[in-house]
This record gives sequence, C-alpha cells and structure tokens, in this order.
Amino acid sequence: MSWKAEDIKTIYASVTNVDADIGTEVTRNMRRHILQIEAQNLFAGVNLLTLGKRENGAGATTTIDRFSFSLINDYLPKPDGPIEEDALPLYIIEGGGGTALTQSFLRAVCSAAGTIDLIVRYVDVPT
Amino acid sequence: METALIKQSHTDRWLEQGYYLALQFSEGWVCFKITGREPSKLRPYSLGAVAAGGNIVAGWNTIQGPNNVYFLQPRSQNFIYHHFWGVTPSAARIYTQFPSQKDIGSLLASTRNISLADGDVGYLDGNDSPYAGPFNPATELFCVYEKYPAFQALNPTGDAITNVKLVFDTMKYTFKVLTNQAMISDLLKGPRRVRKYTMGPIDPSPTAIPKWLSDLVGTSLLDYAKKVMEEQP
Repeated sequence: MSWKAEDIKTIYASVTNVDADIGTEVTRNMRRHILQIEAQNLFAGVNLLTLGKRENGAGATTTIDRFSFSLINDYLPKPDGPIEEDALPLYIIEGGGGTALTQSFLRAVCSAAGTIDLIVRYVDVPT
Repeated sequence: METALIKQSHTDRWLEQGYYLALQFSEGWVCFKITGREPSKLRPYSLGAVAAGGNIVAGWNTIQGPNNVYFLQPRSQNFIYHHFWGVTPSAARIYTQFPSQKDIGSLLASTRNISLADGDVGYLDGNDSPYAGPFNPATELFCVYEKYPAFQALNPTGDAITNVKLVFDTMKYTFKVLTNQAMISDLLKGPRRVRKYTMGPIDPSPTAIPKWLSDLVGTSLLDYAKKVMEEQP
C-alpha cells in the first residue's frame, strides 16, 4: 500500500439533513483513506455535522465523527493546513469484495434544515 | 505517505558493452554479445482517460508515435531495445501483452478479462512500478525488430482517471549474434555470465522467432541451443 501526492482526490458536497452518500463508491478490494476534511456551516444557527460510513451494503450508516457549529460560516478544517507527507488517514472506508459494486460510501448528514459545505480529500489504495 | 520498496534499481539491469544476452524463442535460444548501447526515454506516453471501473475503450495500445511508428520496436534489425516502465496514477493497473496478442502474467488458460470484476490477475500498478521510478524488474522487456508489446489499463477506483500515463526507460543496444557452438553451450549451461530472457509468455510457448532473425542464426544453431538447454544434467 502506498499513495503519492498526485493520487489525492477532492470531492465537494452540500450536506443536508438527509443522510446521503458523499463522493463516489469505494470499489471492490479498494480502501479509501480520508486524509482531510473542511466543513463550513451555511445555516444561520446551531448545526451538527455527522460523518458516517456504509460498507458493503445498503445497511445502516455507522457514525465515525461529529462536529458542532454555533454560527453561520463557522469553518472547520481537519487537519488544519496542508496534508503532511506522512499523514495517517482520519478515517478508512473499506470497499467490499466479490462483486463489481460494493455499495461502500462515506456518508454525511447535518442536523439543521440548512446546509453544510463539505470538502473531502482522500486517496483510494489497493488492498 | 507510505512508499513501495523496490530493492534494486532497474538501471542496474542494463547490459554493458561486452555482456551476453540469450533470448528464448519457441524455436530455441539466440545468443548475442552487446557491442554498444545508448540510453533513451519516452515520457510521458498517454494512454488517455479511463472511466471509473473501466478499461481503455479503444483497446490494447501498441505505443505508437507519428506515422504509426512503434516506439518500443527497434527501428531496424540492427538493434535490440531494452525497456522498463512505470505508470501514474498509482491506482491504474497496467496489463501487458508481449508480443501483442500474447498475455504476459496470466494465470488462466484463456485470455485475461480486463474488467473490474475479473481484473485481479497479471497486472502491475503505479504502486508496483511508480512513474518516478525505479521501475519494477517485472516490467523488463527486450524487443527485437518485429516484436513489440501492447498495453491495456484498468481503473479499479470509483473515480474516473483523466489521463493514465506511462514512462519508458530504454537502453538501445547494438549486437553480434554468436554462432560458436561451444560458446553458446557455455552461456546457456552456466559457466559464463549471461542475461537469459524468455520472449513472450511461457504458456503455451515463447513467441516464434522473427524470420529475419531465424535466417540470420540458422535453424541448425537454434536446434543446437534448444538441445543444450533441454539436455538432462
């Protein structure tokens, strides 16, 4: 397993109060290393961002992290600054095996009726 | 960031002037003495876009340049080309045919299926042979005139790849074909240092020798070399 700077991909998502897939599917026998997230609350009030994952099937979403925001435009970078060369992943989403479509996804939902802008930087690595 | 560990640089595998090379064809072995060498490089060679979970729609790519010239094939019968390659992005899986139509690295009797569901056999990706090098020894190819490889790529990820790029590090050799039977026997049986290389897959047999080289060597010498290698100790 290895990854290089040119392998890092970025996705942007507008997270709503309906739990949804974020980005593309993690394909069979691959592993998605989430290296960095940036989130900004676009709702004029308190909001809660819940990140989850759904691996190998359309079952329940497993919560992997939660972030609260107090005000509109509150901004969360994690980690702050550029991704370190030897950074460990924040989260790992495992692709399933055996079939071409594994239904493994990063998921996200927010608590308020407004949205949260979410940017995710990740790399898919073979297993 | 973790990096793949390749313990030997491919450049250590270049042949020096005066080194010997033995190429195995289905008809027998041909022994060469390297008389001159010149480095070259093809970087980048774009295989183009590959859709998520897909392969190259246009099919196997024979690495052609302007006027349909095959970059990896020696431009005349006077040269042998020695190639290694790397690929970016890292996730892209590269499958090789050498010569074209002959799968290298297949574990199956049938032709490989280059698809997301069946593409786990016989590939090297950018983790195995990174674009920045050093390249994996398994990418080694010796090309003589009329023998060139073909490549196909698979994208195993859920994101489209905009551009799969290959880099080829090449050494061009001039050579003399050896015709001395005692020398050929020494080379093939072990007393002398020689690089032995099988042309194409071993299953069901290595590729056929090109007619120009067969005419140059002669069938009796090919038969002799084959007999030397197949002799019981």
